[in-house]
Amino acid sequence: MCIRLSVAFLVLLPLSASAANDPWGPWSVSDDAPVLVMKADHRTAPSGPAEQPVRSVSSTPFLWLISFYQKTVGQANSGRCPMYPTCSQYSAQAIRKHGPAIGIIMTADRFIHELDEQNYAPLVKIGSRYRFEDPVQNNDFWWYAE
Amino acid sequence: MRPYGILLLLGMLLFGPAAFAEEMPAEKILSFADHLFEQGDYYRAITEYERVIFFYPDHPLARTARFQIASAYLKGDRLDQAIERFRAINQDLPDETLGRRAYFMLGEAYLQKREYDRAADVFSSYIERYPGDERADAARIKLGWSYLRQGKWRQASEEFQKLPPDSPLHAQAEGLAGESLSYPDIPKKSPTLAGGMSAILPGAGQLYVNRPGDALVSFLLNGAFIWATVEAFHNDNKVTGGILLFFEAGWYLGNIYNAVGGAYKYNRRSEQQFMDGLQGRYGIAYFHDGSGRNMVGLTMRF
Repeated sequence: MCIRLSVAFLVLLPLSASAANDPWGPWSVSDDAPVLVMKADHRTAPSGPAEQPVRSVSSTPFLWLISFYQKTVGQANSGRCPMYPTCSQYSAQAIRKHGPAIGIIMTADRFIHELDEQNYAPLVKIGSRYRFEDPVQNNDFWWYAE
Repeated sequence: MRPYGILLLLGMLLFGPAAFAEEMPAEKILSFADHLFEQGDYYRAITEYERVIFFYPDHPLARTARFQIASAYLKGDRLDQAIERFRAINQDLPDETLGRRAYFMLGEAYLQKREYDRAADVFSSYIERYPGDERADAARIKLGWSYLRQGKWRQASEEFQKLPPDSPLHAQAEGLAGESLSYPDIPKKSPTLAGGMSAILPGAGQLYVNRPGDALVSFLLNGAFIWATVEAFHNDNKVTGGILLFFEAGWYLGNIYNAVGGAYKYNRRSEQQFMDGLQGRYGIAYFHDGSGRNMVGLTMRF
């Protein structure tokens, strides 16, 4: 009986965890009436490159390089980036969305505009830290329709 | 002893909900749901509204509960669900007050979703379908807003001007009609000029679009890489020079992209400030009076 309960619990655990991001799971827009998992906490797991399909095969080596960076240098350097998504995540997302050429140009643009964007970008709580939200669509809205 | 216990449990499970329904009239459940709604707890409020519909499907309040569910989705920023629900209510009750309200709210949901062309279609159709409705004038104002949000300021101004002089919203519409005409005066920057300036001198376009930080970073990065590339080739170090040139190409194109994007962001912000100013001066609000009758309120600031 005890084993069965444990198995059921283990099966239900991932289901309940995914319910937080499920459109049919509990949600709230008010801090006065919170659900078990708050909106900002949903974003503790940053939206990585896996979210978007790769647009072209030529993107793959660049995505490998970014992944290598994230697993090595990024591990030691991850806390420094004030933006969300971080520059390496942003770069991977831009490359996946628009291919390597535009993706690299958008990455260079991200490095350049990091300073002034902090005057305009909204603050979002990611995990225990506030970051300035600057997603890819904030920088391609003028030429790319979603 | 054990079978009796199981029978008792089964009995409780079978008759429990029925007993609950008998004890809790629809009014009380709806009142509790409204309480949750007012607290901003839309997710739980929807459950309670669903409870009304489930236990009292033929009760007149079940319709109210349906409308409130759609409203909770709208307030809770679940716009697709809200649109679906409001549309369904209007389709089921097209000529009833609730159905008309649902259609108005459908337009409101599209406005909130920033699908201004669809919002304009709904409000335009609302005026055609329900010309004598108490919200027809408000729908015309919303139609004007939908046009203005699309940059169709002439059309917006014309819509605002169509409000009859005896309408309680006439003063607001008149003000909006006048101010819509100043839409072309919104300060804007030319993306082409910004990009061109940065192509000639990295950072210049960024200065033009009021982004001095970006200008400095762009100028220093490009300057450093151009200088390093030139030095590398000058010292006959072609491999290093090639690598540096590759990086510089990225910085240079990124600099132009940044200037053009900066101009678009500037324009978007200016437009937003213009709209926020209008919204603040000529905002529109809906509320109910003591008897539950719908009322339209104006906010005018000077």
